[in-house]
Parts: sequence; C-alpha cells; structure tokens
Amino acid sequence: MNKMNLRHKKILKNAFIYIGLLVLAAIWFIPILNIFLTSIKSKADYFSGMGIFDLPDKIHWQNYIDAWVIGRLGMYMKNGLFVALIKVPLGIFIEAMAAFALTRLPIKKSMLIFIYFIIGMMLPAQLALIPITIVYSKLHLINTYVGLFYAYIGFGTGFGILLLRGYFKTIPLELDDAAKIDGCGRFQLLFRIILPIAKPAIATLFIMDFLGTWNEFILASVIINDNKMKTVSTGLMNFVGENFTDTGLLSAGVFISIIPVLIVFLIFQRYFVEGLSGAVKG
Amino acid sequence: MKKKWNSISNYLFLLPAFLIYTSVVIGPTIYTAFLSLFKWNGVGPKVFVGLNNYINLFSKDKVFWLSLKNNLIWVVLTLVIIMALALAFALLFNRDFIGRAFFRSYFYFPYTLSFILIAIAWRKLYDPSIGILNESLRALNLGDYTSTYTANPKIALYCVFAAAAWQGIGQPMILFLTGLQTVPQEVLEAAKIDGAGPISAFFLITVPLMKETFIIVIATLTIISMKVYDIILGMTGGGPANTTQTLATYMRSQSFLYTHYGIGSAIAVVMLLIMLLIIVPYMIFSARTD
Amino acid sequence: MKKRMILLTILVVLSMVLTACGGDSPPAGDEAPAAEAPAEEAPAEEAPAEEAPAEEAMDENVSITVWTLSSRTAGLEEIIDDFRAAYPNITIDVAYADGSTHQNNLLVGAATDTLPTLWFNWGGTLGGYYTENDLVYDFTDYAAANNWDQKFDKAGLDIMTLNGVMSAYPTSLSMVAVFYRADIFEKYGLSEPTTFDEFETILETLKENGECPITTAGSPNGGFHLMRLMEQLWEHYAGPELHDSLNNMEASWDNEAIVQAFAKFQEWVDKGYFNEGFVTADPDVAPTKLYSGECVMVFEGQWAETNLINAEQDPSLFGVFPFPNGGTNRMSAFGEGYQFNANVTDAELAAGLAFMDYYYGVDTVTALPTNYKYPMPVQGVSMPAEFVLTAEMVEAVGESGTFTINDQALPKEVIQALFAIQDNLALGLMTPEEGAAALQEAVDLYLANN
Repeated sequence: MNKMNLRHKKILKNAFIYIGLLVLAAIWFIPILNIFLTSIKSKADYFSGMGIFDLPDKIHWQNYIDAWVIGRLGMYMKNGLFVALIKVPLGIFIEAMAAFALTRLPIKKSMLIFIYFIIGMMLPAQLALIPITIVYSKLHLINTYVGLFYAYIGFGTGFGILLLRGYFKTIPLELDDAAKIDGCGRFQLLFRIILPIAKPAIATLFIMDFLGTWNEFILASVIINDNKMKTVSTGLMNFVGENFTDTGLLSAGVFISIIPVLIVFLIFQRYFVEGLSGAVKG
Repeated sequence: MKKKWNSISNYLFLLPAFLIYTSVVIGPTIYTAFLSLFKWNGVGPKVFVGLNNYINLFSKDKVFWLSLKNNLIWVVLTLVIIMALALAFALLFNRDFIGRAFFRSYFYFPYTLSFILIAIAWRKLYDPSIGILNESLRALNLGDYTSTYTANPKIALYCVFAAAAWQGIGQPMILFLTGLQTVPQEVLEAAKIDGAGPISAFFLITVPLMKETFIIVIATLTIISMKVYDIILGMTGGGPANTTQTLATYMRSQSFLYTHYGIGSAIAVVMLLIMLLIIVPYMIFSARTD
Repeated sequence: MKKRMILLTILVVLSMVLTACGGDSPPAGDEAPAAEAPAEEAPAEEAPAEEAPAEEAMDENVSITVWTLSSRTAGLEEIIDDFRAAYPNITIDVAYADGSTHQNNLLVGAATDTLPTLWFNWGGTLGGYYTENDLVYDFTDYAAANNWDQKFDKAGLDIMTLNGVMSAYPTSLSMVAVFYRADIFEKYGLSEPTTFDEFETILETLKENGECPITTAGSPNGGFHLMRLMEQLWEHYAGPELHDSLNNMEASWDNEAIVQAFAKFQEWVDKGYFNEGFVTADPDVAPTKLYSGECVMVFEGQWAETNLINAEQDPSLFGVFPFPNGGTNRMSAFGEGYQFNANVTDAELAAGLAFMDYYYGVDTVTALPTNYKYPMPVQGVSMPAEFVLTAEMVEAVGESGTFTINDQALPKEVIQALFAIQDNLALGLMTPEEGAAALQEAVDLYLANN
C-alpha cells in the first residue's frame, strides 16, 4: 500500500510541474505570438484596428517573401553566417588557450590577468567607436571583414575567457598530472584531454558567441558601410523607414533571420546534459 | 619535458588573446578615461578640464543621479529576479522528463530576438487601449486596475524590466545548465541516501559545487545590467521624464546627441568603476575560498 | 566532434543555398521595404535620356562617396547604374543607414575625419553642427554664380541656409499640419477650423461624442511628436516675433505666453483630448491611429499622405488643415539636403554636383516620381496627382510662411529638457510656471556651457 502512495505522489508531483510549465509556456508565448501574428498581416489588416490577437482573414505570407527578396535578407544572412562561422571557432580557440593558461599553467598573477580581461566586458561599445574608427581608417580596415573579425574577437575574449576559465576550474588537476606522466605536451593536454571534457562549456560558448555575433549591431554599423557586406543586424535596420516602419515586414524578417541561430542551438544543446564524459570517473 | 611546463613560453598561450583584446578594447578604454578629463565636441580642440566633468555630474546633474538610481535598481532586480528564475528553470530542465529539450529551447528562444522586435512587441502589449494587458483586465471586470504602464513614471522602469526579464532569462539559464553538468549525480544520490532533503541538498552540495558557474553568471549579469541600453531605448527612450534613464542611455545622449564627448566618457568611467567595485571583491573572495 | 562536423556541414550547405537563392540585387522596379513612395508601379523603367553633364569638363577620373538614408535605397539604386553609364569617369560608392544610425555615423565621421564626399542631412541644429564646425562646403558663392535662385524655390534655399552658410544642395522641404479623418468630421458636422477657438470647439465636440480627438506620442526617441502641438501653442500665445526670438534664445522662455501655452496644454490633457498613455506611445504608430478611426486628428508632416497610401488606406477619408495659431497661421517646417565635405577637391565637387543634378534633376524625377519625397524645392518638378493633401499644404504654406520646427531650432540639450518638461506637464508633475522656468534654465545652462 505504501508503495502505491509514493508512486502516486511522484506522478502527482510531476503532473503538477508539467501543468505549471505548460501554463507558464502559454504566458511566455504571448509576445512571440504577437510578433508572429504581426508578420502574417497585410498592412490593411494591421491598421484596421483589429485586436493584436485576431487572426487575419488571409494569411499574408507576402511579408516573408518581401523580406527575403526585396529586403535581400538572404544576402545579409549569408554575410552573417560567413562572419559568425569564422569568428566563433577562431575566438573559442584563442580564448581556450588563454583560459587554459590561466587555470592550468604556472602563470604569475593569474587573477590579475583574469580581471584585466574582464574589464573589457564593462566598456560600452559605443565609446570604442571613435578610437576604432580613427585607427581603422588609417589602416584601411573600414569595410573589411578582417577589421570586423578583429574587433569582434577583441570584444569577445572577456566573456569567452570568463566562461571557459570557470569551467576548466571544475576539471580536476589530477588529470593534468596523469597526462604529464604519460608524456603529454601542453597543447596535447589542452586539445586531447581538457577540451573534450569541456564540451558542455564549448557548446554553450559556441551558441552564445554565435548569437552575439549574429545580433551585434553597433560595431558593425560603423565598420561596415557597404550594403553588400552588411550582416543581419545592420541589414534588418534597412527595414526601418524615416517616419514609418513596416512592422509586418520587420517581424517576418526577424523570424527568418533567427533560423540559423536556432539550428546552432538545437544541435549544440544536447551537450548541456551530456554530463561529464567518462574520463573523470575515479 | 618538464622544462617546457615551466618556461616563459607558457605566456604564449595568452598572447593572441592579449594582443587583440588590448588593442581593440583596452586601447579605447584608456582613450575614454583620457577623454573624460577634457571638454570636446568631436571636431574642435580638446580642452583640458581635469575632474570638472565628474564634479559636475555628481554635484549638478539631476539626470545623472536619476540614471544612477535607476541603473542600481535594475542591477538588483536582475541579480535577484532574473538569476533566480534562470536557476529555477535550469534545475527544472536538468531533470529528465519528456519534452525537456523542447521546453529548454522554448524558454531560451526570446533571447535570440533582436531588441527592436522585443520593444515593438512589448510596447503593443502595454498599449493602454488595445494592449492585451489592459484588455484582459477589462474582460475580467478589473477595469479599474488598468494602467498606462510605460507612460506611468512610477512603474515604467519595472514594465521595461519585465520585457528584459522575458528576454534575458535564456542566457543565464543555459549557463546554469552547463554548470549543473559539473555536479556529479553520484554525490547527490549519496546525499539523498544519507537523508538530505532536496532543499538542503541544493544549498549544501549543488551551490558550492557550482561556485564557478555562479561567478560567471553574477559577473555577466552585473555587467549586462549596468550597461542596459537597447531595450530601454527601444521601449521608452529614457522617459517618461527620465524615469527610465540609465547610465548607458544618458551616456549616449551626452556623447552622441549633445556631442559632449567628455561628459559621456566620464559617465562611462563611473560605470566601469561601479562594476569593478562589485565584481572584483566578489572574485577575490571566491578565489580565497578555493 | 562528429556532431560538430555535421553541424558545420549543415551551416556551410545552408550558406551555399543562401548564396544561390539570396541574390544580390533586387529585380528592377522593386521598392525598398519602407520606402516613402506609394506602392504604385513606377511609370517608366528606363532612366531619362541625356542629362546635361556638370559645367566643368569631366574627363579626369574621380571617386566620390555618398552616405544617405536606407529608406532611399531602392530609389537610388534604380538610377545609379544609369548614372555610372552616363559618367564613366566617376566612381561612386553609396552607403545606406537608417535615420539614427546615419546620424551616429555622421558624428563618428566628423570626430574621426572620415566624412564622405557628400551626405544626406537635415537642416536646423542637426545640420547646423556641421556648418558650425566648418565641416561643410559653403555653397553661397557657387549658388550665386549658378543661379540657384532660379533652380530652387526660395523657401527650400532659406531653410537649408544655416548659420549664414548655404550649407547643402536642398532636396526637400517638409511642413507640419493637422491631418484628420474627414468622414468623422462630417459625422459631427465639423469643418476645418480657421481660428484657434474653432479648433477648441472641435476638440470639445469630438470628446463629447466619445471620440479621441488627438493622437500623439512622447518619449521613445524624444517627444518631437508632442512638440509639434506644443510649438503651435507657443506660436499662438507668443506670436511670430516672440516665437522666433525665443527660438534664437534671445528672449526668455520664462514669460507669460509660454506659461499660458503650457497651461492650455495641461487643460487639454485633463479634458482627455489625447490618446491614452500617449506619453510613451510610439511616434510611428501615432498617425496610424487615424487609420482605424481610433483617433481623429494628428500633427504630421506631409509624408503622412505617402504613408497612408502605402498602408493601403482610402485617401478620401482624410483631410488636412494648417493649425490656426493666429496671424498668417505660419506652419512649422524643416528641410533636407545633401551636404558636401568642406575638403572637396574641385573634381570631387563637380562630380558630386553632377550626381545631385542627375538624382534630383527634373528629368529623372519626372520619369520616376515615386522615388522621391515631396514637395521638393527643385523648380520645374510637379508632384504626382495623387498627392492631394500635400498639394493643399504647399498651397497653404505659400500664403502662411513658416517657422523652423522647434527641435531643429533649439540645441539638443534644450530639446531633451523640453521633452522631459512635456512629460512632466502631461503627467501633472509640474505646473506651467515651473515648466517655463525649467525651460529657460535649460537654455541658460546651454548658453553657459557654449
């Protein structure tokens, strides 16, 4: 009899949580629903005064088509992918090396150096615009992707090192000793042993850095002027008019533009719960 | 072999990050600190004024104090509400149940949206005549409780915060989830067998083991909330009557609207100092308990 | 690791797909997503025939850069290839940005000495920053030598004359008036007001019948929308002369007329003449409340007509009248143009002017009328027939004259203070006397620091 009650309790508790979650998810959905409904309304519908949550008679997919064709979203997304897929892995590589050094190599004053890297996260990017533009214009880096990568990597190191360092610290140092005894060099330790264990952190960083790079606006708006080179964030701003913004078009554009981000998230998210790989067992 | 592990070449691991970061970030930071001691409109000569910009900010500038107050409120709200919710979600999604992968993505999703859209969507929600909040209240016969939300100086900041929370939970949630992976299940199981309830297990085992994650989350959230800018600009522009003005929005006004680059830089330096004041002691304290 | 490879492959494939379908240039004749021009098709596909090249001989190779608004993208791209064909020795690069980013970029450009050859700018204090700091080419002599007074309307030239400098090639003259729902007026037997009292009667009548008389907006990105009403109240109570000298910061804002204006504003707020929650409403959304009939009147510029056509509304439901502030009922106005870099070489100047003459030349505009914002100060250009309301406003402004719109007349610090004061007045947190005093305080602070 006792066993039944315990199991009942568990099922009840789980059901409770489930229902709560679903209610929360429904509420959570409201702003997204709003955006989505806006994206499928034609202008006439949008301005007719119908409630935000009324469905239009005819779904106006034209907004999506216009965002792609007239808004040239495809071109901006292609550029964005190019920038993100180069910057993110490169950045992670550089940050991993630094985090590795700060946590596992004998570096003097590592805490100070760590704080040095954190300071950069605190600067509002707007204030970097003027000095960066001065230097970039002299070095002819304006309107170059190299210039953009350099700036992005620079601004990203703070967070990357913060994240990776934190995660690396949870990996026991005994592993390093074992590796050293086995004759492992530093690079091998980092790439063959530490990084595979740190997969959840790398995955997280990849997702976040990809998203950050994808949505980054202020530096891109100043470094890249040429319309053909613009990324998604700056490209989407072309949808904003002088006195009037076609919100249907903008909403549709945003929904299309987040597809790569979602793909990255969906594929990497399994690593959050994969748990530590076997190497840390005993 | 052993020699390599102690050689100066260890510092080479730090070199690429250091070089790029210093040139692109520290350089402008020093430039900003330098600029804060001057009066400059962008084109004319830079006039040295020493600490005048700072003195004026603190002694004469009402909008500055308002921005500072709003910003500090925002930081507290972020660290309390957003962090707690993100942690709760992470704990929830760490357990195995059907559809958890879906729910994880679902609650993370708002974080991927650009701030323009968030601002537009939430402004529509808050619209006093056709927004769903007031409409629902009227439908439930609670018409007396309708509000003008972001037009109401008393609650405008909190209304914008709600939108920011909706969007902002995604990132710390993921960070916590990642951090939870470092808490081995065996330890929790052992605790359960020893009779520990879920709450004490959480505070006595999980939290300490997630120390590094907390460092990351607290540092990141503190910085993000001190620098909050886009969502405020999109939803209220700093109004009504400066009740949602924050340091970053005010800094932008000073630098890029009034072209008072010196004053804007001074505000940024103040922001930086505040962040350092919060984060550095916290980090050092955490390192001590290593 | 394997999953990573799969992911990367997917993304690479995705980007290849995007390259294939994304395309680089839109098909000819398309419009920018948020273009000002109406949705109707452009009549002629081809660019105009020969356009007389600039006066100077153009045989040397020269390269120019142009910065302009992203809302102009489609219109400009349609003609730029033809321009390049007509002037093969000119290399022209155009960069587009939305309004606020463009302003930002210009400021950064000014501070870093990287401004382009020519750029779009507004008049007033926005464009004035560049003339004050000697960043723009002064067209005064050139204008005199090349008969600009016959090429452009005087109003257009005057409004882009900043700080005594003919600061830009003028391309637009905008005015603000009151747009209203004609059918709702008719329903209550109302007609366009010619006096201030008649306007108040309209407000009363609409309110009595449960309508929302005026839609406006406040804080997001400034209370410039609400200011359009406020400046009309100032004009009414202060009269043209005092208003102008207030704008020049010669007279003190802490005076009886301003207090009366603020008091009247508060009276209207208390009587509920404005849309609910207007203080942080979205200025872009404000005029659209007329489309659904939620509100009846809005203070807008003539672009509102373009917008309502773009939004597929029925133009016959709308009307416009200049605000009856008294006297000649001066209208609030501002201009736009293209400023040239002060450091242009003669070749760059000639090339830039050739471009502007082509872009805004009578032939091009006549061939592609939907690409432009009306009214334009370029003489000889006629507006498309469907711009009925704009034509009305142009006629009115000929008789009434204009004053510079306040957020371009006063410096930005003062304007920001004004917006906060407007908010405070609207929320009943300030008395009119306090408001006027606070405004003068802001002016004094500005004058002390500059």
